[in-house]
Amino acid sequence: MLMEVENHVIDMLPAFVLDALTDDETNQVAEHLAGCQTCQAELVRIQQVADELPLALAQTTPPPDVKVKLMKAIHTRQMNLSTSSQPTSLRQRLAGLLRTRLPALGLAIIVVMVLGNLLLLRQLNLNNQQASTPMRVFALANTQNSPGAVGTLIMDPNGKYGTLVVDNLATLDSGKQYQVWLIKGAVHTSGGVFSVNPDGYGSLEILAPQPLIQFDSIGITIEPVGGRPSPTGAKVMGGELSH
Amino acid sequence: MDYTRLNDETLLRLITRSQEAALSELYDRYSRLVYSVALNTLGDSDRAEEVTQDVFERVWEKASTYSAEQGRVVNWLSSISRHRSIDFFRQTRSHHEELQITWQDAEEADLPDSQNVEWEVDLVQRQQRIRWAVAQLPAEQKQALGMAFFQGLSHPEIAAALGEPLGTIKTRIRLGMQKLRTLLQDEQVA
Repeated sequence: MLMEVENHVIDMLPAFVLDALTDDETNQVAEHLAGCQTCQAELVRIQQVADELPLALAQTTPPPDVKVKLMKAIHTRQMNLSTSSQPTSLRQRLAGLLRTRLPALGLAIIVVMVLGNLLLLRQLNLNNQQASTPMRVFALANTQNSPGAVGTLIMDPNGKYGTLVVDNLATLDSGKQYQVWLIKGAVHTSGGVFSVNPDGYGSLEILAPQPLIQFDSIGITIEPVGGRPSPTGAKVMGGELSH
Repeated sequence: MDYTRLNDETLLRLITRSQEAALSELYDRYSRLVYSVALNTLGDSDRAEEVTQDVFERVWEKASTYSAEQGRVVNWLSSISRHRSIDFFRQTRSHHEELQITWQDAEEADLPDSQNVEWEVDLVQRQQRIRWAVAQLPAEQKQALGMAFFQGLSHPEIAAALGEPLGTIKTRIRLGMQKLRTLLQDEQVA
């Protein structure tokens, strides 16, 4: 019994959980642990202490732009995943066009160009395509918080996907972003967050858990970077999604 | 949906379903913890920011690999933060200089929001317990523990960095961790 106690590695366990042992010592402890329930139980208790150590640090808030970069990277990744898993065609080409950083030529021009392209593409494909419903276009109205702002939501013929384009919206502080809300009854579902360029131009491919056409209306508010679970900030734009 | 009222495990489940708002809420809860681990390991705010973004991108990718058997979400997140920070530390440091670990004062909790839901209450209590326990340790034990835990240094590396005998460092780490274990265990029983 005495021999067994002497051979325990309990004194080495603190350094073991902190990875402070040499390779030889680590192997020695691991070998012992494999056959010793006493040391295994002690290891669990010491590991619990180590797990809590980060909570003892004085905590510092990272700069707001860390979250901006993170959420932008995640959203871009999502959009790429979403578009690569969807059938190509008009909708994808249109979204790709809108995502590119077009100069702020004015939303009316953009919409005219989009519709023009759409008609042209439809014309070109007329011979081998069956007749289809045109894209749906919804205008968003500005509010007293965003005088001069214009916005349009372009939805695919099935009402499933949509891309929002805005112009003349104010650029926000680094800790804020615009958040899109899809509204049905009293329920607000986030459609994503976006920022605008120095000209006030921005676009967003909206990702929603259900087809966009099932929502009653759309709104845009100013929220902390990354968005909030429900609207908390000033509303800057809104519009009905009439079916 | 009010994500602020969801517990960490539920947020992770929603993250596996690609809900960006769930990641946003998890970030709001724990970005300070992740950033602080990185900052204490690296001593450099730019690289700490890089690690913070990297950790949450990993959470986005790996949320499905978490299981409750591995412990609490906050511990899982701390573990990812610590290992990523140490990876960065090893890639960019050619020698081990002595960095000051900034332990929080005992019994101070620093969550930004009101403690009105279960996860917040639990986290604040655990912060207070570990901060109280760490505050009981002699300064040299806290220093050796911090260098081993946050910077991933071995006994010989810590001894060299501090200019102390190897045996002294081994003893400080052993006594420090054992005392924390006893304090936390006694406090839990009480």
